Amino acid sequence: MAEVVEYNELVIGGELVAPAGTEVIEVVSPHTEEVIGRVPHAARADVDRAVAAARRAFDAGPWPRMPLEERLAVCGRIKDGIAARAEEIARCISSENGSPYSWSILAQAYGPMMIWDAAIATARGLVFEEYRAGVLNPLLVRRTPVGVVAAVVPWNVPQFIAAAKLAPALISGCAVVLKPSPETPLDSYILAEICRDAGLPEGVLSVLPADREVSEYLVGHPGVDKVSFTGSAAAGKRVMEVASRNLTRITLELGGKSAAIVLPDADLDAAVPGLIGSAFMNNGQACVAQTRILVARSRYEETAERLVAAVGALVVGDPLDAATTVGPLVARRQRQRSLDYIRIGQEEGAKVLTGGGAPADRPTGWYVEPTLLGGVDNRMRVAREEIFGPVICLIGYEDEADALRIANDSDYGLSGSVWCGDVGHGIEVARQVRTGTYSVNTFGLDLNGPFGGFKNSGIGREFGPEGFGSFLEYQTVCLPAGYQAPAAGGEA
Amino acid sequence: MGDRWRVEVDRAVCIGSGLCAASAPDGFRLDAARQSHPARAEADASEALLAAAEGCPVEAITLLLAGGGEPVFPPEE
Repeated sequence: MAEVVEYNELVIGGELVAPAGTEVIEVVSPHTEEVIGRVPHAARADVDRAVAAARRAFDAGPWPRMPLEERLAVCGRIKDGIAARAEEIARCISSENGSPYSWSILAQAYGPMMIWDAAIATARGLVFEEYRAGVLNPLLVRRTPVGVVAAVVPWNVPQFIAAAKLAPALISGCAVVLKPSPETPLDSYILAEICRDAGLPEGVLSVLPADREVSEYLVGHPGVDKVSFTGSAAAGKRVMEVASRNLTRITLELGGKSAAIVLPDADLDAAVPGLIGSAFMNNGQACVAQTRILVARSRYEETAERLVAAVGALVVGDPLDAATTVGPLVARRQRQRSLDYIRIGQEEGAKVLTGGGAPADRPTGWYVEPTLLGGVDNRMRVAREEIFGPVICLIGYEDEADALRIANDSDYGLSGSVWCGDVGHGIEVARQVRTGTYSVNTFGLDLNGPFGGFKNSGIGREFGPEGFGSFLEYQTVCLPAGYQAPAAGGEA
Repeated sequence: MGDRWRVEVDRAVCIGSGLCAASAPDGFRLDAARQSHPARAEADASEALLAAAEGCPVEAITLLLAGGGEPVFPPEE
């Protein structure tokens, strides 16, 4: 049962090569607390090699120079490769990070497939070159790949976020050094195999599992043109600081403390499952989790009762069990973090309505009971800080203006939702909330719309044509007066 | 390692997990409110202190080289 997956090499420029150092990352199951995998820990010398391979591939290799349709064909095969191994990928990630398989198969495997498909379709609609009348000259305005990209991805949805960065980067013609988290390196080896089999040329992709120190070395590497980072706000500030030395371009997708507003005319039968799903998804380890539920005081007791019943129906258990809806947290430190915030919330005056600790029947594994804190004031730390676990705040409001004030009273601005009787009114609510994405009577994160954060939730956007923008640089070519542009339909 | 480190805990960030005191019992004390304090403002560099800083679930611990003040954790590059 306790089969250990072992890789002794790193993927550098698409090839499996011996690591420069001797350090090893042990992947520990959050369910059994046993070692389930070992991979080399990339050293600085490995970063140097990977960046050099990416530089060669970008500066002189075929990838950025081939027609778009040829790159899209390779990317289509990457998507097909993920499809062929979807269940294996979902199982692998659930084993690494505790993501329940029922959610994992959708978000960790089908999600990446949808991202590749959406990015391929989006790319076909982008205009990479256009002729334009200038003020002084006729112009050719081009969009050209940004260069060597460092993609730093976290452990919560590693393949989803890797796809969100790799798909637009590779389609644009960039070369990528992917840096998975030490908690979830195993699935990145599957991705590297898929990319190799899809025919990605030499040098275009390296995969370097590493912790923060080596990650910072990569982010600060002068051979890197662009860093696309997903992680905590604290780490994001550090990435920006380090990247600033070389004026390396950055995209930061950081944390959130998103508010779901339940208006008095909401249909609770529809809202409650949506609220629970969007609050506790991936065991609460999602940047877009709706972790503040805002309820009118007039319907507070009724809504609280309904939510408590729904939280009670969640099934806590082995992430690989198909019936499980809430698995363990990724690491001991993350379980401790959730338990501490539950304690801090109570010290601040919040009340545990359900949950509130580690489940007594699970002595092994980093489990936390799905927890609903009631009577939360938005000034409390549990309402302001990202907990990243199954701990949700229920906050009462007086009227809609008060609800909007509370929703916006946050250092974060990633996501939000409103549950109401009239979608048109919900759109009015959306217009007044300062977050990068918003949902009305649903919870969505759509792969055709720009996704990202206001405020401390990040800089830049992923997905949609807007997401491609961060992997492309504009080039304006001034042409001599009287130059006649060739007819459209030429080389893309 | 041989260096001396200055140890700082940002108490606006600390959530009192106690993990630092568990990984480096000589390096950190928890007060009555479970807030972490460096046992001494400066200490000999050690794997235990580094592990405590790396393992803090809210990244509240900073280690700096004593004297020069260059960051040890979070690392500078």
